[in-house]
Amino acid sequence: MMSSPFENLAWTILLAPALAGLLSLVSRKTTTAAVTSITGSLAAFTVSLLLLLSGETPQYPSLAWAPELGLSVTLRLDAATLALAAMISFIGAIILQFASSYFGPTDKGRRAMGTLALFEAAMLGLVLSDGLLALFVFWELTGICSFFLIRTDADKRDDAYPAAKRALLVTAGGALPMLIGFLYLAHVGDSTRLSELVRADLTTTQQTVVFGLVLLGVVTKSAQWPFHFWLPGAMAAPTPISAFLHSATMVKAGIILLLYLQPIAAGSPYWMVTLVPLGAITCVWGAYQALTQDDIKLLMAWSTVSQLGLLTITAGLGTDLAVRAAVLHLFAHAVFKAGLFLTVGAVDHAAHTRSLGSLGGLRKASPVLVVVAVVLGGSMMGLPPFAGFLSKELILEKVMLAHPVVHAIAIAGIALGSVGTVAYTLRFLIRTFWGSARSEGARLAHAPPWSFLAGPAILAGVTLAAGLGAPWVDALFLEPASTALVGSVLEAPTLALWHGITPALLWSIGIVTAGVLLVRRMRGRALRDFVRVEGADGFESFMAVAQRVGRGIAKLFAGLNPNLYFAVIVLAGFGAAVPLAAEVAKIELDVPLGGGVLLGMLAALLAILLRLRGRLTRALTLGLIGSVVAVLFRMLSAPDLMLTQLLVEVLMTVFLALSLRLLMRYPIALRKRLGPRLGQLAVALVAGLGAAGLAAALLVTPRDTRLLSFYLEAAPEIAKGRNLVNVILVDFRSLDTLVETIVVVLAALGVAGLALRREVPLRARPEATAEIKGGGQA
Amino acid sequence: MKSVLLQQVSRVLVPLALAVGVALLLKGHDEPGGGFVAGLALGMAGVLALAAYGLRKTRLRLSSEVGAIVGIALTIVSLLLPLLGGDAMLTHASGTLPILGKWHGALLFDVGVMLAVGCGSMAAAQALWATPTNGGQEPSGAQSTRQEEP
Repeated sequence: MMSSPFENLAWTILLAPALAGLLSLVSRKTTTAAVTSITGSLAAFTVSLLLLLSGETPQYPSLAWAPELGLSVTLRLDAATLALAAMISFIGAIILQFASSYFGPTDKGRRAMGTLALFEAAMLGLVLSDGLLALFVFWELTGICSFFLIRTDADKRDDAYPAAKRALLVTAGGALPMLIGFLYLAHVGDSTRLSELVRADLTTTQQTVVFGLVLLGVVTKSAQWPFHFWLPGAMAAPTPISAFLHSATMVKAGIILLLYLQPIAAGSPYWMVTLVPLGAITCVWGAYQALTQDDIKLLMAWSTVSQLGLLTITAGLGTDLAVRAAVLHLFAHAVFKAGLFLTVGAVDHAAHTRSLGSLGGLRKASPVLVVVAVVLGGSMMGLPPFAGFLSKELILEKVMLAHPVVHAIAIAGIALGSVGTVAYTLRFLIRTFWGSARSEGARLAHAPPWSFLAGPAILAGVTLAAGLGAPWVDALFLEPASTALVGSVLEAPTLALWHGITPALLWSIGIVTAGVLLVRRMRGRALRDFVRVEGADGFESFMAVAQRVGRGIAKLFAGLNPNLYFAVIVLAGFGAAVPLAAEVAKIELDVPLGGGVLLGMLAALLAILLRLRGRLTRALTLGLIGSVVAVLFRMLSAPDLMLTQLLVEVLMTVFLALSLRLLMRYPIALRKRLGPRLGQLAVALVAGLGAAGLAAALLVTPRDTRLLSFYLEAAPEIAKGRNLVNVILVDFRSLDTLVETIVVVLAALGVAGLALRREVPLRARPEATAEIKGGGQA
Repeated sequence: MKSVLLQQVSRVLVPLALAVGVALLLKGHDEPGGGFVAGLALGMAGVLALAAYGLRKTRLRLSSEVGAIVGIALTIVSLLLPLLGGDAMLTHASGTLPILGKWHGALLFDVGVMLAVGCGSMAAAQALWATPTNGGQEPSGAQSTRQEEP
């Protein structure tokens, strides 16, 4: 931990968007929200770029949280994570600018922008975290933000809420095994920090276990087949949100995690044989679905699924050079896909439709938009001189080096997926911008205002500049980033548009030709109006079954019979301790005179209690018994216990009396039936024997005084207090006390809520009342 | 329900119980006592006042529910405060002041526990007190708590 300006500056990357998000959420005006959130993103972008270019990497600024448990929030600032942070905040700023014009001055827009900025902070935390647990927390936070963002339009669209729920459940469900994987990794690698785990030497089996558990988190978050279905559903979100979360950043989290874990777990023999086929299926299936879509936004969504598959294939190759290719494509895709989504938003704004069947001829309305769309689409198709060309070439080159069988699968997946990509991109461009308008809206389309064009235009400029400036991109960013990820300097040829005639180039030419042929053949084919997302149905029926099972279980315990609850609690709590009752015989009795008197009093009070009939008198007698026990505690030199017992006893009696008031309407049922009485006897016996057994076992077992002597020594020293009980409560175990306090307050508020309910269930339901009355008369 | 005897007795006992609660809180770190017991004493004082004077007169400016929540917030704040000083969470500071003598950061935590327990039990007692016992007939003072409900 050195150079503190660097460290302190780094936190602003997280704090600026988080703060901006919160401010936007509480602000009154949409303009304020827009300015604040864009400023926050730009601040994060500037700082990450500064740190990236300063070259003082890697750095690990850290904030102590609970050092005794090894818990701290640590950032990992190296060329790779900072580049990712810069990309996220850069795209974030553009998206927020677009969103401010997309939503206009609406309350919904203000909230959406605030949540987007919060999401951005979570995403930045995800890529910058060094600790596995912090990474997990941020991972979940992105999912939660995604839930709220997808359901933004829930007031207009019926499918928004179910889609949001599906996305949340699928990604959060996949994250659970991932958490177990993280904990296992922390256990076997003896560290929770990625920067240290990279050096940990795991056995192949350990690597496989880690990989297998984390895999589910990866494939759900990054929408790999068969968990891809939530992603097209998430298109229920407004366009800027889809552009940011569901194409450029959040869905990349799985791939990013794969890249982070590659040095740790790629030694597993299953790494390649699992990831490559999964990615290949996703890549081809996504491309096929994208070809058949009518809605251009859904087309882009399926295209994202396909591209994520491509990234999984590349990351799945597991070699250092493949990591380099994956990193480049991850960035290239983020830029062109975010741009294309914004283009879709601009088209929607101009022509008021997103259907390929209605669009057409938009080139006349907005020449700028056409240029932007062609540049971005060219990058997606992998045409020179755009960034997408560089990354696709790099991927194709790396695939050549793979294992023969996997090689075949990978190359087939990439080739088919890429042919599809060329075809659907051409279809999108041609049918949107050329030809004649197929609807009134498209015919009357106006040019989108600059505020809709600026974002996509900047992104198009970036993808063009990156392609033209390939050697600089390599030197400034790709080389350091892949070196940071892999941990060693790579022997790779410099990135360039022209490498001479290589096999990769021939593949590229073949793919583009096939794509063009495919789109020519498809001309005039009918479009599917609505393609059911397979998988979503399966998920819904799975959820329906789960809910039925849950309701069945709930029904077992529903009802108004507290006796049952009580019996279950007593039997479960004391049942196991009943055999211990034999230990009572082992206690050596040594009762002083005063104790004997008190015990006699207790016995007498118990006898009286059994004879009493009135509820209130019984409650009072119970209180008396408790007070006698408190005096007993005093004799056994436990003044703390006596004090607490006395006070609790008094309050308990008051509460019992107050509750009994509510039962006054119902006379005590003198149950004569044998069955219930025997049941009560059994419960009472179990409770008595179990409690006696527990107490006896405690007395008989020899005591381990190590803990006691530790506290006796440490309490005055560390906690500066002599009352051990209180010192333990407020200092050594203060977190426990905090949670207990919360439980106490929740219980109190629960009592208050139940008591103040206007309709007490007993009176609200006539049949229930009748039942009780019937019981009383019997 | 109100008895003059109870009212006269509680005039002495309620302040006494409050004083005992504060004493238990302050000396709790070194001798028997502490936030929980202090909270119980506080709750007892409240319940006694409730029994003597009824609901309407014992309602405070701030409701007991708010008090309980403030208590929890205080405990959380006292646990997070050390983060500002660069220490780990849950570290209590302590030291000696010129006139007041020894002080301890845990006192804030204990005050929070006391408020949570005391106000929590008071809230529950008030709610039970306000609940009608028969046929929707509400005891005196119950109306005020139920006005906000439709």
